[in-house]
Amino acid sequence: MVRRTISLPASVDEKIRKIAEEEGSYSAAVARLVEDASKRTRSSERPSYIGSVDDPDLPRDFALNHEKYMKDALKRIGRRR
Amino acid sequence: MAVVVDTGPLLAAALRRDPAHELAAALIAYGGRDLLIPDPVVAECEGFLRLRKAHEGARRLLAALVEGVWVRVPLTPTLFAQAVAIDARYRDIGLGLVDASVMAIAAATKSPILTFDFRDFRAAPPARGGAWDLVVDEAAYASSVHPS
Repeated sequence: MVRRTISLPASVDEKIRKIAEEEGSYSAAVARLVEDASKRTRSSERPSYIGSVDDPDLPRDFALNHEKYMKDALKRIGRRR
Repeated sequence: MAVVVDTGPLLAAALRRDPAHELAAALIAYGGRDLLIPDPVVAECEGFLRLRKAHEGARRLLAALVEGVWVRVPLTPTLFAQAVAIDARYRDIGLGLVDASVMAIAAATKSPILTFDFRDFRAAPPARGGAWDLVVDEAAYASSVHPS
């Protein structure tokens, strides 16, 4: 069982108390700080979305001219109907 | 500093064979929570990926947004109205809601824009005057795609 009582350095406690004035409670301030730090840590990693699509049939200018390709696709769908 | 992201760079970050992939990947991967991604951009990018049957890529995009890798920006009624007004102002170039929402959020947050759609973003400047602050301009894009 993980203990939920924590000991904090005075400087950290001071930061939490400052944020607690906005958040309304000490626990809410701790929760926000932990969540923010967790998001910052995650954002420093390379997201798995990056480079996730390897489509050899994709036109090289697909990202640059995506609107044109979408219009072409819609036209093709329209012709099939 | 916050940056509003348009569909082109977000797509190019996923597409390994895109000529601007390295540039887009570096900016999107390491921009983290400084990157503001409007909901219409999410929907458009996800739609293009599904169109190419890149369902896994689309799911990874959505999962990253759920995890908070980047900041998703829903269109509030005010932002939506501002985007609609921008689209109407530039009716001649057929801007559309996606580009207009990028512009509305950039104007509201005073943020630069990450786009590869230089033509439309040059043709539809901010109502306050001047030009949109673009993170990557035509020259930087060209040099990243065709390194000298």
